[in-house]
Amino acid sequence: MSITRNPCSDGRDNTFQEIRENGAYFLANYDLLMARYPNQWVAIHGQRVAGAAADYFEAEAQLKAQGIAHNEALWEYMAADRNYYITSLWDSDDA
Amino acid sequence: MLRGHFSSERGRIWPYLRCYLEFPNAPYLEGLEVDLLVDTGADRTTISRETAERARLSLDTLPDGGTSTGVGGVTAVRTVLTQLSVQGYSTALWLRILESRHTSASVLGRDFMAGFALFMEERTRRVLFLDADEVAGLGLDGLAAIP
Repeated sequence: MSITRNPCSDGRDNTFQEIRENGAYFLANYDLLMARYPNQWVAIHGQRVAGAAADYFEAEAQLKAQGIAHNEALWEYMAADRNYYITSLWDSDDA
Repeated sequence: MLRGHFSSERGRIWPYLRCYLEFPNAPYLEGLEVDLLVDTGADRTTISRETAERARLSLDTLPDGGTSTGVGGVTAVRTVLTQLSVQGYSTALWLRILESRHTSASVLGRDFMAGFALFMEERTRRVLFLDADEVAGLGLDGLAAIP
């Protein structure tokens, strides 16, 4: 693991600006999004909800119908219980 | 196609994808290259506190992300807006950071992998992420999913 410069960072500032704007939209509208789309995948693009569905691929299809690639959106699963599952590798000494 | 790799640790072999993480809300920070464990059981891409500190992220300033439940227990998490890049492919996501210091896990979750088909063969040490067009070329259409 090392700290380096991104070798594929052309257009980085513009991309970062888009991500920041979509991220800010998400945070500013978090409560509304949670109320409207509980337990759904939400894809934010252009500071709006461009796709939302309980099934990831249904939301992805909504994006595709608008000519938006899935990696152009900021995705978030609106977990109503705020309890996100991960599989963890807890250090054996501490488990 | 994105290409991952197998790596041996403590006598065990695990699949990884080398990713590059950048933080749009903190562009003054250097990006971080990190090997994320390919974890098909993880919903979210998550890094350890140690990894976050290597990137000089200050957890205290990041939004609360609730909790994460794993095999070993439950821990609070923070979230950070992240651009994740791999071999010319980039996407944005809310990266999770485990607050606990009792795990060194940094995992690639289904929030990233859902966009790909995962081909993993330990015998030949291949870890491949195929996009939809590449999957279409495999001739697997006759193999329906088990309901």
